[in-house]
Amino acid sequence: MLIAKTNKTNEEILNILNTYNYFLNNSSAFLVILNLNGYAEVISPSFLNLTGYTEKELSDVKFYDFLHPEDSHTTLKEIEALNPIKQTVNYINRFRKKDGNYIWLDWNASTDLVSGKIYSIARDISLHKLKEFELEKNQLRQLGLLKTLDAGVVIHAPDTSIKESNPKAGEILGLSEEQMRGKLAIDPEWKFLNEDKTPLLLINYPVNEIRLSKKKLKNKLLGINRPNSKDIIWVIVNGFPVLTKENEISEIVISFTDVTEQKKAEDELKISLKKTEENEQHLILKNKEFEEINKKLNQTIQDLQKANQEIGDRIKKETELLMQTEMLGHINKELEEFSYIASHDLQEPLRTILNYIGLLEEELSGKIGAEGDQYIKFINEATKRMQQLIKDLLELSRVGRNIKFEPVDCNKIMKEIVNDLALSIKDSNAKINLAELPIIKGNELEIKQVFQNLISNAIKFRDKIKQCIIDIKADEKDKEFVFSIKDNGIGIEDQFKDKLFIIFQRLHSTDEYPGTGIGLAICKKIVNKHGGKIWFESKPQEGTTFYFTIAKTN
Amino acid sequence: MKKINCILLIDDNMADNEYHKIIIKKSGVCDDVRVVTDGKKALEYLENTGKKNQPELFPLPELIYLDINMPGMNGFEFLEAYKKTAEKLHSKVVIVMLTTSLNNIDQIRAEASGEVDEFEIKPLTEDSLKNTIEKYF
Repeated sequence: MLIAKTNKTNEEILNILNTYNYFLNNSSAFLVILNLNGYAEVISPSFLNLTGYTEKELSDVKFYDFLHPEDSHTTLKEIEALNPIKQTVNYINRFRKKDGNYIWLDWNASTDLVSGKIYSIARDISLHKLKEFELEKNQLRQLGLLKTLDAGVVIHAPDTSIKESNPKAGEILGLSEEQMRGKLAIDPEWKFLNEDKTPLLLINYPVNEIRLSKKKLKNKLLGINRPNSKDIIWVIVNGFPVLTKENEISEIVISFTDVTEQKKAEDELKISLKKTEENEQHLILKNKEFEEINKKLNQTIQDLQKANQEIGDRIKKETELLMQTEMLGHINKELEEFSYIASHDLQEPLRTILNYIGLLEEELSGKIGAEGDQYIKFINEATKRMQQLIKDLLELSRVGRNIKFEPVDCNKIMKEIVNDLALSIKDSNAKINLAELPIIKGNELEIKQVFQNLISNAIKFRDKIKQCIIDIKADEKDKEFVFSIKDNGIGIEDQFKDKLFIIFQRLHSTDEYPGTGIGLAICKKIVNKHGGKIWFESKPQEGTTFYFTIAKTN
Repeated sequence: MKKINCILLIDDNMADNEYHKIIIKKSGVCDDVRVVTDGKKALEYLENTGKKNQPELFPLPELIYLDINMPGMNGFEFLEAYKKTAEKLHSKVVIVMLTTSLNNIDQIRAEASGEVDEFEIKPLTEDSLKNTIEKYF
């Protein structure tokens, strides 16, 4: 020992021993001195305290037996290798405590050639080891996660070169991990695209964005034109910078998920949605157009239907009217022809009767007695009357045969009538008051006949107890002239109003007032042919006013 | 009163023809009254008058009374045919259209034919007959 060799005094040696003991007993370091046999000779109390053994318990058993079975072999080897030149530094093994648990110890040991004893100092690194294990576990976990993660993960160095990547990253990017390592993220081989497939600017590359902003990047959609493929891969990119205490970037972690399928589906959906929308829009527009067209069509159809209906109605009406007119014209013509021919042919036998009655009268007059003469007279009169009726009928049938209409000066024809009737006017002492009459459009002969018939009637049916006064005038209306012939004669009973204009209608006996009853029928027919009406107002014993109208235009 | 040799009545109405014969006889202007009942027979009669071997059977009429409405050949048709075939007679025969027609157009047609000298309405009277004789003979 060092002490023996020195010339120290006892006191000095005692001091050294005290110091040694103090160091041994109070040091927090775990001090163990092993002899050549492997038993502990000196054990610091701190080690006893640490392990839970008594000094005896530790000293009685070979020190190596307390080691973890896995460590004992290597520990022995380490000890064997010990020599004064080569020391053991930071040799780590596990030591069993009294409670059975192991603690991790970090040994520094040395030996000396003389005693062969091993002087060792241990440090409890259990806590440190625990942390190390924990870290290792985390690393493993992370590695496992990275390897199995369905997202690509790339860790970039600050210069953006790839430090590490997981298999999925390679898969997505179409490169092996080996190929990827060392590539720069800004490698022009990799073309990043915007969502609209335009090239992404370098500055907007995820790694660059993070590098420049030093901030997280969240859910950026990117297209990747892979170096070895022409397919576009769509990815959602997330990333963050790992910063040092000095806020410098130590690495950039980027993760990305392949969303190509989703994007495709989404795009298709968008396209189909857009198409649908467009279709809908188109449909709506078309629909609107159709509605408009439909509306117009409906309107047109309605108009057409209406027009059609109107035309149809009109045609129907006109056709009916035409048919009626034609039929009436036909009937009229037939009637006229009939009455003309009939009256013509009826005249013949009558004339023959009259001829021979005349001969008989000449031959037999005064020879067949008064009765015989009377009979011949009756036959004669009846035949003549028949002849007159036929003549009247013929005259009536002639009305309207003359269709020539021209201006007729009523004042002129009135003068002629007054002339023609001069004798009967004089005989009856009638007074005719003539107002100024218009010039009308018509057939002069027929108009004259109307006036003449009406004036003749006024004279004929005069009231014999007073002077016959006849007022003739005309009122001009919008579309017609209204003529009136007013007398102060015997008047007409109300009950005959409707019968008066009927042919051969007589209100009096031929003895009282001779005539066939054709005059007013002829007047009515003439007035009607001139587009007018004829009527009368009358009071018995006071007089009658006949009115008739003549249209201004025919 | 002047007398003429022969009057021809062209009319299908026998009652009229008989009556007219009586009137003519009574008037005493003519003793020989011949009657045919339509235009065609009248033409035949007139053709026969030219044949000299039978003058007593078909004496030439100096006056003709012509009806319009007749079956076969009517009055106007007779006038057309008469114009063409019997030119030599034209200046010698007086034709009076004697009809029941009250139609003005018939009178206008008759005058337009150039052959009709008078247009009269039936029945023939002694007065009108005498007037015609006075006027044309």
